[in-house]
Amino acid sequence: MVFSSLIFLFVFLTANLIVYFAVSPEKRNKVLLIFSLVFYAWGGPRYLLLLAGETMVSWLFAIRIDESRAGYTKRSEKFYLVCDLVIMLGCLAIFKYLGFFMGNFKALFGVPKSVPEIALPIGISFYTFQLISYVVDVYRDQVKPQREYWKLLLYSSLFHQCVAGPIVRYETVADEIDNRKINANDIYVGVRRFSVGLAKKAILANSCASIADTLLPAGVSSLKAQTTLGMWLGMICYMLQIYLDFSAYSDMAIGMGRMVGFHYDENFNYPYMATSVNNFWRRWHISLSSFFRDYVYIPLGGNRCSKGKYIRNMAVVWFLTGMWHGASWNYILWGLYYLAFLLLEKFYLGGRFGPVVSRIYTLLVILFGWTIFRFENMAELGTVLVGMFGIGNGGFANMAVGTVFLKNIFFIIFAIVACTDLGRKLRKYMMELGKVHKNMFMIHNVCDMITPAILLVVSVLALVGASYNPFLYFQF
Amino acid sequence: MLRYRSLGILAFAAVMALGAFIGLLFFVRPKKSSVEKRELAKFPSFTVTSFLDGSYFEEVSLWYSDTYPMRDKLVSADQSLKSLYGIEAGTQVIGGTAHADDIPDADATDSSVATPEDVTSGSTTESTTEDPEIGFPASMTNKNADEAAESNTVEAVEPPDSKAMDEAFQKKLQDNLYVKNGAAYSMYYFVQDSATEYIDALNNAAAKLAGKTNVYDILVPNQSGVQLSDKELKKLGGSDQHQAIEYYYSKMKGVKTVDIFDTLKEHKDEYIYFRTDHHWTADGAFYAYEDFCKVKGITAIPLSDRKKDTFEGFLGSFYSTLNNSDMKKNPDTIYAYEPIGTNDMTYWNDDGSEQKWNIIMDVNGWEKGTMYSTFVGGDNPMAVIENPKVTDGSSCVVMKESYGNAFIPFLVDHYSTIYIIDYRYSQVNILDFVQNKQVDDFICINNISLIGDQDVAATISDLLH
Repeated sequence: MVFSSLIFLFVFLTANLIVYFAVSPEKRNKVLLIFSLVFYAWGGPRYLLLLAGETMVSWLFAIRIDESRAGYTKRSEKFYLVCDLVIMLGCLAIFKYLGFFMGNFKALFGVPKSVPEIALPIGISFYTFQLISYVVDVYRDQVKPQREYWKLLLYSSLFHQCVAGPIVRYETVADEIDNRKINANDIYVGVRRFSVGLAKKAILANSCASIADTLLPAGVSSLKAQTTLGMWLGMICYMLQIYLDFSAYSDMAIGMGRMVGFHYDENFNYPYMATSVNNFWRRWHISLSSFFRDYVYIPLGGNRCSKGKYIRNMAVVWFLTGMWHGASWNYILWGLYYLAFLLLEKFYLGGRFGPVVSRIYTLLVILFGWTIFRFENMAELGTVLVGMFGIGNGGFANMAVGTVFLKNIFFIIFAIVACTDLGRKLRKYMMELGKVHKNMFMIHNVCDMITPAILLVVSVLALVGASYNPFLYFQF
Repeated sequence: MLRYRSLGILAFAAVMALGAFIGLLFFVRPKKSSVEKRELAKFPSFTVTSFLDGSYFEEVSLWYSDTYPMRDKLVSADQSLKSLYGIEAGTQVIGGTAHADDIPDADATDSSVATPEDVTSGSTTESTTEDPEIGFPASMTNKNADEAAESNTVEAVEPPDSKAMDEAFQKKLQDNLYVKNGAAYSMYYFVQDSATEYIDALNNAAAKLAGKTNVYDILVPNQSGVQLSDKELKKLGGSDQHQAIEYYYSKMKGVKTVDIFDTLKEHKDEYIYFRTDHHWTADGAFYAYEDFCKVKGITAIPLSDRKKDTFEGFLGSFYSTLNNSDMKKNPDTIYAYEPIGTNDMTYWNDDGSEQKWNIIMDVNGWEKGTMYSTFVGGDNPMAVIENPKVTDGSSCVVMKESYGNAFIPFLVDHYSTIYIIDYRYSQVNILDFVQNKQVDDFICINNISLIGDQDVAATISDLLH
């Protein structure tokens, strides 16, 4: 089920919230669990077994590790940790990467003749990482193992973040699983956050997607016919789309969590306002980069080691980051692309640019990064990359691009503004002003009151007509 | 402040509850959308496989949002909001970068252009003592075992994949448009493979019908080729329509081709094409009819002899696609000219049920986007017009898509019987049918863009072999 769909809003979420608040507090976790399992099964009941299975494995091994630490088992904690990692990463490797590995093997050696096509269970990249972080945190004695299997399953399958992130660490919610307090303000903040995310997705992201796909149609010959300006405009819209899309899902997850008393960490911090590539990666998909930092980079030595080792550590992390996004060479290339710029900034560029130039440079690097990300087909990627520099395409500009641009000009400007923190600044300003002027206080309050409902209504309108509703990160 | 926030929660909850409630009103859910002119998603049937791989649920989700009550109103509201996104310029180009093959030179030395022997009408009247049953499809077999007829049965075929046909229509006529002052023009892109297949199909039909039935082919160009200036066409790209038509005709053997391009071009400033719809008007079709009469060697009946009907407020396919405000302010008017001998016809639906209808139907008050179906009842698998005023027993089969609709009324006064088959919905093999009915003329009238689609060309090829 997709968050931005009528059935999720008016059947699933409505039912979930009604039942949740209707039952007594002790039953609420079970309500969340049941709804989460239904939500996951909606996308394919077969894979529910995998999710439950991986959670069972993590549950077992985390307890074993704890018992080992207390001296109750024959084997060491490390043994159980390794077993767990092998199984978890093994599942991920088989379901997500086997086809990719075998395809490459075949390309090099000619065998095997047929490469299996394995369907990707939804959310596997997210929940596998969540469970790994749980077991490692138990191993590091940072968190106590969850003794009740169903509560761990609640953590891994919770519909808020199971299929689309953020990657929530167990320690973030460990206490809140059992001790949640909510008040009207919490619910309001959650509702508001959810509505903003929903509108971002249903209206902003989906329309950007539509423009991007119009300007960058599939197939090398169609792309070759596109003009330079058309490719740039298409890629800019894609860049807007992917941020608005992905951050919207995180907004909705955080909002829904808040409605029931969970406080998830932020996953995005206005990434397109970054002043350097380094800064960008502290603002984009924060839960993923911090996962790799805490569970790969730092264990390898981080940057507290020789220069050579540091570069090796960075290379490993960025190779894996690229690969996490998809079993295709362009994603790996994307990861290594950022590796190059991060190293470049560390050793050479750091601080050389002024505030304006550094932002422009960063945005350009990000834009070309997304170009690599968008095209899994290398021929298409090549066509677009050279096409953006005016080589081998259908000219500089044409009327069709002009038509698309004019038809969407206000929208594109609004979408760009939505990527900045202008909205937040405005609200803060209104709040400050409200402290002094009674009228502004009233206006601010009324705005607060009507915003979620209005955003919800407008989003529903957008969703009804739209058959177009792709969530790009769904393949993860 | 908290009071307002609590109210905010309530407002949100109220909208959710309302939405959930409306969603539960199963009996109010629409089955088709008149705005989108399509059947809406049906509730899927349950199978174990679809349940396990999640596709059943996916379809349930689709059904839920596709058939949400008041869908059309909500979609319209959304369209209005979307119009705030930007500026709609008077001149626009949508798409315009489709691929076009080069058009080979029309072989001037090809002797195949020689006019085939005329099959005079009335030669088949002796062999049928009873009228073969007009019905469908089981009764398609010729009840009279007749030596002249080569095939006694008409092959019933699976109707062509309507989804492929819809996609062909979208791709060929709606994806690449030039819009100027509230009128849209479809761009044309020649496709060699489709051309070869279509030509081959017609040649096959002509060969099989040689000596028995005259085969006519009328290729209708788009507005863009006829009404835009050479300069505009050059800037838009695409293929030269006249050159393409000449190429098609040059390759046909034994087919009586009717080249209407120059005639239409002569009258390009008249109201021969619609502004908001991809079709031509009856006035445009009339000029094609005059050219057809010249090739057939009969006298065309002038427009002035006919009763003229007027239907106003037509907003056609281009408007549905673009929602262009200039078009809305200046909708089309349909002028239709009734045949003299009769205005009655019969057509059959997909399920075989029969429907009595008018050749020119009164569409006043109909949904604005559907008014073109005033002509011969729109597009049906099979239709028949019998004109009691024509007594020489002449007959013809017209194979067409919707372009033919505006043309057929003009033929009514020249034939006793006209069979109309829309190749997109046909449930019979057309070649078999033509042979079976032993008609005098087999007339193919096709829009040049649509037959450039691979699926369409393949369909026509199937139906004519």
